[in-house]
Amino acid sequence: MKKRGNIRYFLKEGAANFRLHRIMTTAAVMMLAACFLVIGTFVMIVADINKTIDDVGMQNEIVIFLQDYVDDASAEDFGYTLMDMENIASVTFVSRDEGLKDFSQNLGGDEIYDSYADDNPIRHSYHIIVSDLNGVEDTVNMLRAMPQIARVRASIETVNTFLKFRNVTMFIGVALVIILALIAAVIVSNTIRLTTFARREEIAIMKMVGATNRFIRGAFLVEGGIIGLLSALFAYVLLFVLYQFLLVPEMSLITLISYVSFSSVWHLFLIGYLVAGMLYGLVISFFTIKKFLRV
Amino acid sequence: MIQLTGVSKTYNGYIKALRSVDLTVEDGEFVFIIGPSGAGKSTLLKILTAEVEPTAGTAEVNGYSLVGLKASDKPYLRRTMGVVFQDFRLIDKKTVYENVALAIRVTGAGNREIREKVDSVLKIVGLSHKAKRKPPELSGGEQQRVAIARALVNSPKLIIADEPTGNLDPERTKETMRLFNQINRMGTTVVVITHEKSVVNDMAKRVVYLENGCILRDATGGYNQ
Repeated sequence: MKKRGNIRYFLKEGAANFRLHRIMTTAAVMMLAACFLVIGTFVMIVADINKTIDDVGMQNEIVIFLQDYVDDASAEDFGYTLMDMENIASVTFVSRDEGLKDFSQNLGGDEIYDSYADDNPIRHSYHIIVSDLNGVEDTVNMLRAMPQIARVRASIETVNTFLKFRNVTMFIGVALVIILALIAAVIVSNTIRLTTFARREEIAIMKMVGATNRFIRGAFLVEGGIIGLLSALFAYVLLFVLYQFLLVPEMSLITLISYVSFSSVWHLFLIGYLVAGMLYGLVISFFTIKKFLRV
Repeated sequence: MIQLTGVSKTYNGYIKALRSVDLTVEDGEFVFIIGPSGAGKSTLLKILTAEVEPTAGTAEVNGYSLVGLKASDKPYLRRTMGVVFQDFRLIDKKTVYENVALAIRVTGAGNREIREKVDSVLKIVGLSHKAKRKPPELSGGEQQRVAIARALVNSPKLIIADEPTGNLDPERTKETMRLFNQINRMGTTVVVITHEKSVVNDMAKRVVYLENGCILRDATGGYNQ
């Protein structure tokens, strides 16, 4: 009962303080929302880059050619051996005959097929898609070690270039998110410090009448929480509008780019923003008010 | 009860605000602490409210030893006393009711208890009809009565008033001192720190005279007794 009364009091006080210092708190909400928005936009862009790289990388198949001595039946069964291996997402078997057909069609006619049908120089082959591009080199090495395989064709360098690019964007993304998170922390901290400074007399009075630090913090924490939550909601709405109505239409014009649909991640962003906003408000308020409590 | 033995306070290593002060105030007493500016009255108040710690000696207030008192225990000591200041120290944005209620709310009291006690003390100080007003809407005397109500609301054993009449006209001064007298008759120990001779002379109470950080006189009577 007592605790409930206090919580009600803190909520009332926090909301009242928010109204009372509305210019400063609105500024804090805007600034924090801007930081959250930039962080969110960057996270989405990095996710899009990753998706694009993954999609392009996935099109980059490994092709293996079986030894000449592998007969038709063994060649088809070899697909099961491949599927049992790690990091193999899918395999497509191309028989010698199909291979020759493709070859002759690519060169412009059936004449080639007809001339080589009886003495087909093409080997049985498999087109392999890996599940994780990071492991492509190991997979290629494993394939090369298999006696049934005569040759492995894989563009490891291309894959590595993709991976490097992805790692760089990831690194820049994480660094930017950390920097923006720190900036956001400073903004909230400054705002709360200013409002707390303006109310240091009030804090002194509360201490004088026997308020514990925990009690005094209550209202300030609520205020910080409100700032954090409002910033999170504001940033969420802005991110949705910015991404869905401005970025995606532009990106969809470039066929090479794959983009993550907002509808598939909206819940992650909403939860992430709300949790981050709340934590920001609470944790930063907690530490900012600390020095005003030493009376 | 206040028990100071050999209490000294030195600031920055060389400014001696109090020099070996011995003072005992029994429960239910009414004591004036008087003296010129710089006598050490404010330092004494700060020691009693645990804002500063004595440099030497032992000090005890309402069962709490003030030497080495933990920060987490200070709120509980302060709840055993009410402090009234010359400048009232009210929160302007809160109503009279909320200002008084704050002192009891911090103890974790429930809403019903808060309502009952606040109504009761506002009646004692004669401000029930102004419970919804905010301090800036009240006169100096009324604001001081709000501060007294706030000091009283936790039914403290001790009330310390620091120059409580400094901002009041003679009529409001008498009214305020009558209120302190009434509170004292209800069993609360009252310590009034002042330098106003008329306030002290009007009441035949114990007077502790402080000068240069030392108690020079401790007797019942007026300012110059």
